[in-house]
Amino acid sequence: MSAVVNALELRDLDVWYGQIHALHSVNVNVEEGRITTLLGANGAGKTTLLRTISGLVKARSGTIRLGATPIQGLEAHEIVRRGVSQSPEGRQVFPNLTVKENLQLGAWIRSDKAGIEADIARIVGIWPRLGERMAQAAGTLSGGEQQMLAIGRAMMSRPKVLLLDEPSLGLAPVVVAGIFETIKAINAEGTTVLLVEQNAHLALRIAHTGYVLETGAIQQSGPAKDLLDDDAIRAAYLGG
Amino acid sequence: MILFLQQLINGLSLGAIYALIALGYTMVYGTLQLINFAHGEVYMMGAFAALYLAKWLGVDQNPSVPGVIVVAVGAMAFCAVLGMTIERVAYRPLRKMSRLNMLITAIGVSLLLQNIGLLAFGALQSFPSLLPEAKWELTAGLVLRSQDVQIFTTTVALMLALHHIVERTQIGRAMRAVSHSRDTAALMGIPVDRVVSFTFAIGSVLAGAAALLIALDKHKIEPTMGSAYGLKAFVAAVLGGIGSIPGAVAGGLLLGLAETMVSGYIASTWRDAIAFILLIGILLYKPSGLFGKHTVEKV
Ligand SMILES: Nc1ncnc2c1ncn2[C@@H]1O[C@H](COP(=O)(O)OP(=O)(O)OP(=O)(O)O)[C@@H](O)[C@H]1O
Ligand SMILES: [Mg+2]
Repeated sequence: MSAVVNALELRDLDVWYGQIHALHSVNVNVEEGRITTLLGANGAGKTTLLRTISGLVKARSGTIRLGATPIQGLEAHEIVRRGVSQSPEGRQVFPNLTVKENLQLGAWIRSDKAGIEADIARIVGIWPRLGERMAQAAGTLSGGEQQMLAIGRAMMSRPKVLLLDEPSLGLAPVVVAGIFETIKAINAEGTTVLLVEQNAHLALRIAHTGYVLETGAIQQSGPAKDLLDDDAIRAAYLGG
Repeated sequence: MILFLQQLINGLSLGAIYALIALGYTMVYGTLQLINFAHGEVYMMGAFAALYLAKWLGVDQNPSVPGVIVVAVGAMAFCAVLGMTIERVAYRPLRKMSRLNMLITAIGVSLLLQNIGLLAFGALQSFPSLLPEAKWELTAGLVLRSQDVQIFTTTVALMLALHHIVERTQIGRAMRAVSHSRDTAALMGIPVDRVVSFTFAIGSVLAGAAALLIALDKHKIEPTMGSAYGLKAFVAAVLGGIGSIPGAVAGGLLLGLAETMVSGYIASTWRDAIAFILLIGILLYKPSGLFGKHTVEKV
């Protein structure tokens, strides 16, 4: 049995937007090969946390380690190169580019043409609807299809760690269920996942570990199973 | 009819030049939402770079096609470096500030370069013939000049190359991605700064080509040519819908044709006014421009 290794380690992370203290000394471990979920209400700082990991927001203090290497302060595109990719909040597909072009851009850091084509085929295997719409502008896809594309695009860099910001946002339950199945499958193939969600119930059911963020500070953390049974969490995030 | 055809040739020729310059405005606007007022001066500097390069290499004494190609590539490369330097030195440090800061800086860079031009190059200079020139009388009164042919063929070739880059290459996809969202592009691993730099380079290369074409046509270049042509090309970009590549081409051709038709049929004194009449018209009736907003292609 091998010990649990942290793929991503956040230590004492402090983030400010001008006068707004958005993250207070945040500590999070994202264990290798597992799904970790970060829960929290609107404005808690979840997106800020992911943007800080990705290098789009700079932390005032604290460290972010990818394996043994500190990555805080690196430029966003370099962090992708190191193996962390993100499907951002609100999907953010490039609406004027075709589905295929979106996927190709996801593979920006790679140059193995055959491998890229194979990965596009793999994504089409998961979501045949994307395959039928390869030449269509991504902006014309439905919300669910755009979410599939955003996740697929983030997979195209073959990340070690995949950050997902509210993949369930605005989608019908049946679509969400499908997407969560896929997240589980992606994880089962070896990709470490940090999943930000407001849909705490679903997230905790597929995650190994959960963190709860409240107004910029981690309030609680533990095995997902325990959080699912926790009365305070049930009251706050699981509707009783 | 002959007059119409003649003005059609003249108008397409002029419009092609406007279009080449307008592409630089529109591409930079698409990526940074910045009106790069210094772009006209990059064009002006390209003309002088071509002049001095031609003299230095002796191409003005011994004109030849390979010689002109070397001058063209040199002037275009000079413009690329100048455009990238302006972006790096003047705009990039301001990118996180308000757009007004960048806009004012752009006006400042434009004035600076124009005054450097006036100091370094003086006023009007004549530009030598670097290629044999010919005129063909197609029918009585209808003349096609070799310079027009040069302008058409070069412009078409450059536009095809641009289309290929923007639509078919990974860097072109990256340019379109950056124009939609710099942050999301960075999440793809795209080095956004390098893509912005590349966008300035391409726009400047096109301006350099336009400068050489116009210098070979008019045989006169001056440090203020950037503001005259630059302003018209900017109007062309707005007419087409700023940010839109096909819009810049259409706006350039439309403006060129409008100018020559007006001087052919009304009076040449109205020529410069028509640009602003068209501008006011489009701003009143379709502020987003001919290809604005609804276009799929926005770089
Ligand atoms: N660019 C910014 N400038 C200033 N304040 C910001 C900025 N981005 C976020 N904030 C503030 O930081 C706090 C955390 O925002 P963040 O987007 O990280 O929350 P979130 O947990 O992702 O919320 P949601 O569930 O609504 O997406 C909020 O108070 C927000 O207003
Ligand atoms: Mg959020």
